[in-house]
Amino acid sequence: MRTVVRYSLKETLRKRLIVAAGGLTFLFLLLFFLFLKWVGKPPALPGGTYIAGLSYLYLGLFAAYVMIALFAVLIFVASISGEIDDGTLLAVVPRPIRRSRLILGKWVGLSIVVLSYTTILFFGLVLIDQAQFGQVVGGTVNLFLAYGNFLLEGLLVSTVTLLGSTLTATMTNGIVVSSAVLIAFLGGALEQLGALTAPGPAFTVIGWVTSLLIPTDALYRRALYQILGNHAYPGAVAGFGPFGAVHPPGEGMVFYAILYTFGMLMLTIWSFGVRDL
Amino acid sequence: MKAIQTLGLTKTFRQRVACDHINLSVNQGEIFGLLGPNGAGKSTLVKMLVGLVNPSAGSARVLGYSFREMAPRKRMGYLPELFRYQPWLTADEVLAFHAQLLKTPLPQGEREALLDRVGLRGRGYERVKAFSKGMQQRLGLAVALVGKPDLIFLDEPTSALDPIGRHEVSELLQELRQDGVTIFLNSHLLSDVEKLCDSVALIDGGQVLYQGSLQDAIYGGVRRYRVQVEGLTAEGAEAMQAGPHAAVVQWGAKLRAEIRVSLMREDLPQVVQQLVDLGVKVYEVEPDHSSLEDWFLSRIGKDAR
Ligand SMILES: Nc1ncnc2c1ncn2[C@@H]1O[C@H](COP(=O)(O)OP(=O)(O)OP(=O)(O)O)[C@@H](O)[C@H]1O
Ligand SMILES: [Mg+2]
Repeated sequence: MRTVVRYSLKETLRKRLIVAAGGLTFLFLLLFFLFLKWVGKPPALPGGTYIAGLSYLYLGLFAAYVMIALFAVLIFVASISGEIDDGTLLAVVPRPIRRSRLILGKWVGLSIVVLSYTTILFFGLVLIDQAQFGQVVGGTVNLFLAYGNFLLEGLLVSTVTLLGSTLTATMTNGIVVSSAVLIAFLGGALEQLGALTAPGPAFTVIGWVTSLLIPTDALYRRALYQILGNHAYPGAVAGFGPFGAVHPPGEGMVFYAILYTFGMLMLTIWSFGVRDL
Repeated sequence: MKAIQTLGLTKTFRQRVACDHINLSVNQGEIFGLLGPNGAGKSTLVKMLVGLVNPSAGSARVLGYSFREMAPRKRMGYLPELFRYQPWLTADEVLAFHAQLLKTPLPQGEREALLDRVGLRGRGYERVKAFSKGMQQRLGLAVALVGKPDLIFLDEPTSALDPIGRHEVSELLQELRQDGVTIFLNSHLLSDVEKLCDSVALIDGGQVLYQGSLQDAIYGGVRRYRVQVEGLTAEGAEAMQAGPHAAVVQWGAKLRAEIRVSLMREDLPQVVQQLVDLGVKVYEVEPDHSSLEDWFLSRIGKDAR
């Protein structure tokens, strides 16, 4: 299995995926940095700096949320289906390695890439934002709780995409998973808007249903909420409408996401195990 | 112990039966040829044996183990029919990768020797992406040989090779047989099969139409030979034609002639002796090459359609 992990990593290096992704991430962080520099200091209202810092942090985290999902999809989308199309698996599967090990090796190897990407993006954004506006996040614990949610988001999208890769063609898989992530975001956004404008069960139900479908958005909202801790002004988060977390998902959603990821991984192992190559 | 023994191995893809209760056995150390028209189920059978396709029913034993176990796979090599190796690796790295999957050491010297053996000397450090089809197939052979397997499955190993390559592969297979390796060969090149295989099976529509020795398959023991001679006289020719083997004499330039006889292999020395006694120079004795093809065509035409 270690061999498969190593060669999966080697593949992303060889295909210059890591170089390209690293370069683009750097560019993104640089732009974020320059943007914050040019925007300059906010008006000297009480709490103005904090509100500005929070706004830009939320903007950045939204971008990170989308980019991580996209990155995970791109990294994993062809991981199995592409190798089936190419015929590279034909020589690998007959070797004395169980199919489950093969899948786990791929999963671990490529997940390392996704999680590294998440880490750089997340801490890069927070650091740049706080360098400009002072402390915005609640504290180290809050920071890492939020970070954990983003990691889980990356892992979850990765696993779902891997499952798709054992089931369908590369293109279909990419479209299905990205659409699911988008739908989950829309569901979450509606839930937040609903909580602001017309509190009632209808919007909550929409949020729930989409979160059960794929809990990426729930993880993102929970990260938005957790990163602040008690540091936030009461109602500070209310101003962000569909990009905020007035109505943050509870702990249960995180457990659900962990179970969901695990379940998807098991499903992947099973579906690859019974697949004819 | 048989190298391979299948018991009612069956594969159904949706409604299509690709392999239908296949019972085959392959002896250790022999070259076994699996013949059959396109879509007969040859590749599917091999894929079941190497763990790529899950059978719908039946079982098999490979090298004494159940084919579902990992143990026999350490001693197996497989060259798929349609495949590519990781295009972003070099040929050398592909071999190293497979050695690691087998958990067997394969130092650089041995990797080079393997590439050399399949005619890829000096190409080890090029990316597989840039390999031609035939070079990929040669690399595939090298990969199948990683770890010195006891059993090798080759699914049309020479389909992309030039005539020299085909010849080299024939020689390679004969060397391997001498080393005691069992070879399971899928091929449409009947002349190669005829030259190499100890036993054959013919399948069509997923069913085994014949299994047995190659000799028995084609001639039921009797085989046609062409004998190239010089110095045959008219009386000699008459004597031959009157003999028990239904000899046919075809005259060539000068005193050269080709004699065609149908006989058991054991009787061949006797005929040659007879010719020598007649004062005839024997230049060449060769089996008639179209025979396996004739047999193939007749069997497939008769039984399946
Ligand atoms: N993955 C698959 N899904 C559906 N049908 C399949 C699949 N693989 C093979 N088949 C069908 O099974 C039958 C046997 O195919 P197989 O590839 O084993 O033939 P073959 O004898 O190797 O032919 P060829 O000489 O062309 O290589 C064919 O009818 C084919 O269409
Ligand atoms: Mg085939």
